[in-house]
Amino acid sequence: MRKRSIIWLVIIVVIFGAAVYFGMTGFQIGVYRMRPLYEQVNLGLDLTGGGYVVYQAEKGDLSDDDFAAKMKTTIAVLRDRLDSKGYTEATVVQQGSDRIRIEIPNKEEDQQAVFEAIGKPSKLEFKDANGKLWITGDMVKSAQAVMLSDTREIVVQLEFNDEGGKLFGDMTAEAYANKTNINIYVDDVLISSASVKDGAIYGGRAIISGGGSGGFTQEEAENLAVGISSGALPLNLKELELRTISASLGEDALSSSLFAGMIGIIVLFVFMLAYYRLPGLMADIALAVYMFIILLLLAAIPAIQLTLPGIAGIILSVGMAVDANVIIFERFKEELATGKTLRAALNAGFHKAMSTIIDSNITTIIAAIVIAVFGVGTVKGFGYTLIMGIVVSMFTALVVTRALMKLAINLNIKNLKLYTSRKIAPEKSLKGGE
Amino acid sequence: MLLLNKTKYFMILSGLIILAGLIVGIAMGGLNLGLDFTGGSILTIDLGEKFDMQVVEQALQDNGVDPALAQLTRSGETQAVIRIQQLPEDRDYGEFRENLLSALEKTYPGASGSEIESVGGVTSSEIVTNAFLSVVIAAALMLIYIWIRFELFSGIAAVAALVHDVLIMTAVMSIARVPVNSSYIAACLTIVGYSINDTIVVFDRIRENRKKISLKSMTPMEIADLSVRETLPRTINTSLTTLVTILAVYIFGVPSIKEFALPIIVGLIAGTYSSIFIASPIWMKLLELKRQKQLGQVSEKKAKKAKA
Repeated sequence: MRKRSIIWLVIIVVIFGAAVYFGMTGFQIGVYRMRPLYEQVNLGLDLTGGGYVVYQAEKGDLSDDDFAAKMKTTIAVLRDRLDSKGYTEATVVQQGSDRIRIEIPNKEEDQQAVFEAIGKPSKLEFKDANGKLWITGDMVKSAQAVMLSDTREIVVQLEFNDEGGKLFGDMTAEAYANKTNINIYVDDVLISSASVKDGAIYGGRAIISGGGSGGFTQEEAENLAVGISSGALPLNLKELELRTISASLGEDALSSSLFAGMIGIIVLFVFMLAYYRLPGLMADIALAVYMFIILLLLAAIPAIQLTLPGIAGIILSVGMAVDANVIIFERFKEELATGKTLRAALNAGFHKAMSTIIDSNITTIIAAIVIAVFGVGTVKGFGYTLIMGIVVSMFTALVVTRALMKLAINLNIKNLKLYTSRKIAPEKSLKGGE
Repeated sequence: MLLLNKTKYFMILSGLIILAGLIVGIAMGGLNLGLDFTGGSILTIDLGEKFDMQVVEQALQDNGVDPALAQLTRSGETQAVIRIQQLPEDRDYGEFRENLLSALEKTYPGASGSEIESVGGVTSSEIVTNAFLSVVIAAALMLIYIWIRFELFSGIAAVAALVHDVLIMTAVMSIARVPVNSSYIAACLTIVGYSINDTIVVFDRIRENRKKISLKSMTPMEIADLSVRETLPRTINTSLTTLVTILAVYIFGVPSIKEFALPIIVGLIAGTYSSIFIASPIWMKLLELKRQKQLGQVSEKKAKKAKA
């Protein structure tokens, strides 16, 4: 019995130690390289710096189905636009039925650039000389900057959808007949005014050339093309909420809360060891396992974002994880005091603590689920980490602590002073062990 | 001596704290609501050099915002922090920011926006509704769960303790004038989830002891007192360990996490004593009332005796 327990203890310590070591340093097997776990944790905006914006889409008199479909395209267009600007780490998600939330992590200090990138989408309009509106951005299928092969002039090439193509044809026909110009506005600013030289243009394509003498520069044309593409958003967006967090503030927040967490956890470990002695040591080991599992989950599940309240949630859940251990140990001590053997006391302690632990944790999970469902942004992240924390803490207390305690008893550590500070009649302590 | 005899004093203490919070709140015009709840914008603009606040005021004026209604503060040598309430309904924040910045750039070419926080009126009123709704839903779900696992009276008593905790937290936020943002709601829900933990542990013990001990030898209140005593080491130890960790966060954390940690600390303390001194006595009181009623139905004489 004792020999087997020692072997088990060694195996557990070696496996866990190796997992922690490789988790922290990363490793490489052949071509596959695993980065250290903490580098893989998905950090929220409040820790990386960056910004987010929430838009409200205007439904107008669209039917529900139409609106839902247009929301999807709008999100896809926004996504494209961010990608084309190099913000591949940005996320665009729908919130509720008519909201869009864009988050852009940014490790640099320049916040202005982030919001110019998503800012207000450009609005494209084609008007005739009388100011009549013919074509709007949502009729544009695509817009891109190209260089004309003959004149080497840089222009923006547009491709219309069927409706836009037809309207453009009609519009050019009329302008040709009246010998008037076609005016192109972006965000109500006239950027190009062109005459129609060769009659109506059907076929769904048009070119915008710069009004100035030198035409567009490559950059101007590209920006305009991107602006028109997003001006081609099927829905009108109104900004509801916008926040930026500077990168240095995010870094401070991360390092200070990690430091705080470390201090809190060290105090906790010392307390458990001092108050509960050997079981306290087992609980400390179980807590270390707990923290490692949490780190593993944070790294493995990209949907869980670690936010500032999330870190507080994890630190808090360490405190709560202790709770299950405390409940068990207090029971264990009570049972020992009634004169039971160590093993019987341990079993009775776990058995009686079980219903308490489950009831109290389920109620906390209920609160955490409500947070995760109703919260937005960083608060939602807090809800997820809290749920994760509770589930894992139940596992470590009921499985890991228990296994470790059994091992300790099997190792024949009989000295009751290691288990409890309560006074127990000497003849009872002899029963310890088996 | 019965531990729960002190219940009266704790209820008075809680009442006083809540009352103080209410008085301060009324005197100061409500809670110190953050942007999440009031809506509006906080713009931090780095002007790139030492600047004159009057230029900023003028720029606001030119963009249709009365500087008297805006809060302007300096941050460091070169930064201006502008807090404004709602823009008129039809105006777009994005446009407003751009115009303001370009107006400032005329005087200070190096001006750039360094931090922006902006919450529309629609969003903030939704946050309030959501916040209220989520606390109510969480409390209702817990009432149902405890009702199923224990019985109705224990559910009512536990939820009463939760309401108490949230009220105390809100009172302290009101007295300390800490900004209340949506993270406060998360803190309230955390405490709702946590404080119920304490309560359940005690209730669980009461349930166990009621099975073991006949009502003839002990009154419900005495059973509750015994159960509270038996679970006291656990209650205190867990509260201490949790308190230590979150206290560390409060001491070493950045301001935005302090805003979150403070209500949690208050809630932890309130939650611990409410599960001892409020939840258990209420449950027992409800049980006693029910018993007296039943006895009264059997015999009026006995009922009179019980009341005496």
